[in-house]
Amino acid sequence: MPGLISSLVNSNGALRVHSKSLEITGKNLANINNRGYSKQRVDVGDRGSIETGIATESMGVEALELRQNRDVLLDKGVMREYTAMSGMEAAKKVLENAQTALGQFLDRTKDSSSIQNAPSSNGGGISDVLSDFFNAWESFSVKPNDVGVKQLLIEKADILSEKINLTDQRLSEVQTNVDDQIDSDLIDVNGILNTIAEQNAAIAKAENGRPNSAVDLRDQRQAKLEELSKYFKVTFENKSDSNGQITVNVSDKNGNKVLLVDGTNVNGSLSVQNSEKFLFNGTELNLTEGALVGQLDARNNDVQKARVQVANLSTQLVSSINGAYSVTGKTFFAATPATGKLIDIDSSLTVASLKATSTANAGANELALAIAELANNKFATPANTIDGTFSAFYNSTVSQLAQKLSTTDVQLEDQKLSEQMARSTRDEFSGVSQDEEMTDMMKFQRSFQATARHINVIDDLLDLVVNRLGKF
Amino acid sequence: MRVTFNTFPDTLLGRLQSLGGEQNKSLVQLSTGQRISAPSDDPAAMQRILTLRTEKKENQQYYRNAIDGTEISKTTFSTLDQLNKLLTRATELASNVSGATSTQEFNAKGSEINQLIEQGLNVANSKLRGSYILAGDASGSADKPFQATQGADGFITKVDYKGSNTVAEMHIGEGTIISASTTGAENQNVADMLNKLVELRDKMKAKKSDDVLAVKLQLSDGPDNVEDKILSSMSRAGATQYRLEVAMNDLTNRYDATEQLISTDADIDFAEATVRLNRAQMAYQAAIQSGAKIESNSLLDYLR
Repeated sequence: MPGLISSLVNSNGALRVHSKSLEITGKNLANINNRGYSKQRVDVGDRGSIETGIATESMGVEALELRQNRDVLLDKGVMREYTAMSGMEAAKKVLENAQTALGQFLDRTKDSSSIQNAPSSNGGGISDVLSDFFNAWESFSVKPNDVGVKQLLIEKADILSEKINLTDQRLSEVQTNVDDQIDSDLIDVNGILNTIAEQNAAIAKAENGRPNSAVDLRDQRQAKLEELSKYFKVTFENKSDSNGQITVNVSDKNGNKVLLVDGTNVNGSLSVQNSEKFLFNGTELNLTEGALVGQLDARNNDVQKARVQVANLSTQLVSSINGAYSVTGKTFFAATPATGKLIDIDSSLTVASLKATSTANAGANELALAIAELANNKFATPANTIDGTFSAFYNSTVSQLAQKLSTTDVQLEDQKLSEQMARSTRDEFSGVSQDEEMTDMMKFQRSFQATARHINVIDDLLDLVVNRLGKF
Repeated sequence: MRVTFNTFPDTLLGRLQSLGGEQNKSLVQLSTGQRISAPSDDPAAMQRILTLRTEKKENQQYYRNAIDGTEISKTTFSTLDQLNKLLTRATELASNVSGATSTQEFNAKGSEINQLIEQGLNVANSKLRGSYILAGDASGSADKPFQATQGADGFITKVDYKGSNTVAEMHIGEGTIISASTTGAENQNVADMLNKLVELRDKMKAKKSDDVLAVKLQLSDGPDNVEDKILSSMSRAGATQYRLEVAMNDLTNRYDATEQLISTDADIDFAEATVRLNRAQMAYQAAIQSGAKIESNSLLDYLR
């Protein structure tokens, strides 16, 4: 009798374990598409053992705890790849915008195929209008008395000035956009830091006395950490004796650890200073990689470099051409351009006052020839602001930026593979497998049925013992 | 390897995106005929292309300069040719003068030469596109380069060259400079010729056949005569024309060569691009098909 009753109790426990397992299988299947979710399983064990006289026997099976397939090493690997990839992605976006701002694209359909019919297109970037400008001086040198040619020259100079000013303006807009993006990113980052602190508090509360039990909360916190790692390189550590809380760390300029989040506390907020450095409560951080750093680097190094080079080109143009034109006692380009402009035609310059010569001879062209020759003049720093000819200098500006963009693009493609690899490696361990869950489901269903069957048998035996014994 | 629910879709999506990108690249290249559109497609090639394009544009400009130079040179030649014809006519008139020439004949010849002088002055002051042809670099001046002094009877007594003694030059290549117009000295020769004609007319009117013949010798045939100088100016204009033509040929060849170089860098090889597109398409199809096959199989199909 006592054996039968305890058997019934054991089976009851077993039924609970099977249904719990079945429930978790259902949960796993429900989260099959949830990227932040890691597969859970029920850890089954003894309730305890007892000396029965025959042996030391189990007191029955019990669901001990809920475990999840999570591996810190794999998680950190994914975070590292996220950091690297989003840094490159952010830099690529900035560089692409800068390349568009330079506007030096190639469209061969407009190219003339014969030397005789040169198209009078004003399209393209600075490179095209620059050669148009010097060609206009050539034309002027050939026909110094032709009003139409003079008009054309002034127009081409106007177009060149406009193009240079516009390019500079658009590059500066790219920089402003990066600043705006960083500002909005920082709002996200500070929000994420707060969320992590809140999640730390929730986990500590839930795991009091039961370590690692708040599996779903941990999943959510890991998802936030991964989101954070897209912005900059971040590390996290377990905070000792705190029921599963973590600290989120970066390092400052001197290599010291800065705790952004310490358990339930957010130690301050992240800000950017002068589009140059990131501060956390006044401490300058040494952030590496990630979207914030990628954007800022591209803004301050590559875009700024292109801007400086366009400005240098413009300075050299003004000084060289005004230097040659000064023999007439006038300037061609304004000595001080209007605010916000790099280069401007002298406002007093008209078709009537435009001169090809400093002599009294109407028809002399030595000045126009000298300026036209500047197109092929090789400048050198530091005496000049540029190196090489005007067009070579500008072309190298374009290709420098393009090279950076192309390199970033290639690296990004490689990085995407690494990221995919890291994610799939983690998914292999943490992800939910449909087949696995289905077979598990079959297993648990059958186990449940078998246990129920066992209860049935015991019930029959008890019926025999209770109702029919001695009634023959 | 433990294959989870997301493994297949992730792998499939990754491949499809990569192959889609490849196909898109092929499409862009095949539809534009260009291997490069943005500088970042191939920065090194783009830098070469930009440099070559600048060179191409320069060559086009030099070619236009040369065309303008040829025009100036041709007009100069024909102007000098007209002057030379006038001179030839004048020497013809002077050559058959002798002691037997009648007063009437002297007068008739004198007035014809006077007409030649007037005509010569007009020709010498002729313009091309509003600029004086024989004026050096004073071509745009308001004053005519050849100024005539008239006597009380209205006849021209003297012609002075008031144009410039320097000339305008032009580029027909990087560092190559040419002047298509006549020099100051050559223009002075034209003035000298007109003055000699004035002298001839006056001698004709004075009816001294010996003096007429002496002037005629200075006009042509004699040592250091005016006709030779005009002819030499003409042949120099012809040589300039030839030089410009050679330069234009050279520029055309260089232009074509530059265009070829740009094409090598910028244009696609259609065969190669098509093969690449086919390859990408095939892989894309294979990915879709195998993906569909795998995804359609599930344990669920076998469970009741």
